[in-house]
Amino acid sequence: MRDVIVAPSPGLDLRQHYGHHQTPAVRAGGLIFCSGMIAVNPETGEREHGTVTSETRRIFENLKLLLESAGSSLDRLIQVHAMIYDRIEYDVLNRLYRHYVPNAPPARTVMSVQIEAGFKVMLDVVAAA
Amino acid sequence: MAAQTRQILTSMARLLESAGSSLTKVVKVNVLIYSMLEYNNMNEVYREFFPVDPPARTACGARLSGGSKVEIECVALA
Repeated sequence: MRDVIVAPSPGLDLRQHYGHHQTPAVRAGGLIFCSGMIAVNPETGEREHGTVTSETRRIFENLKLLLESAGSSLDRLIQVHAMIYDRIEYDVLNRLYRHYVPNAPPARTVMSVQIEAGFKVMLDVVAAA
Repeated sequence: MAAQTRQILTSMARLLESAGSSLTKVVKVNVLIYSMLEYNNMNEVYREFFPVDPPARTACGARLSGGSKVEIECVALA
């Protein structure tokens, strides 16, 4: 069983806004696999470049919307790939991260990679359904 | 980029089928590209392989080995 999770608000449909050939999230095997989340406005889809803090905040709020619409939540995160444009800002990411996943945080790998459109942060997450 | 993407996804399809799965059962794809400047070249070929209800995907730029321009991993239903 493989269920596609449609975007709960139009801005989170990156396929429609940017031609990214992907679904926001897919549920299978009791897990929800989310496409890499970036700082876009959940209503308009507009890119919201900012600081590591502002982008991370927007990303977590978007993930909250997406996961809750699929019957999951940030408390049910299992694995996170925290992608950052430069490890030098790791501590900034971490400060906000621990605010959103305070208890029993998921497994995490931090990766410094090149993110689309010059964004500073992207979160690639898997959650329990 | 387009040629490598096509070759990779063709091989992936074959690999999945030999395991009793298929591209339609792919749930999540992670794409590593040597440069995000070539994202569109990858995306245009990629869309041919997942015509209906594409899987979730994360793509980012990373340093790859052996002169590869792209590397793709996936999770699929058995």
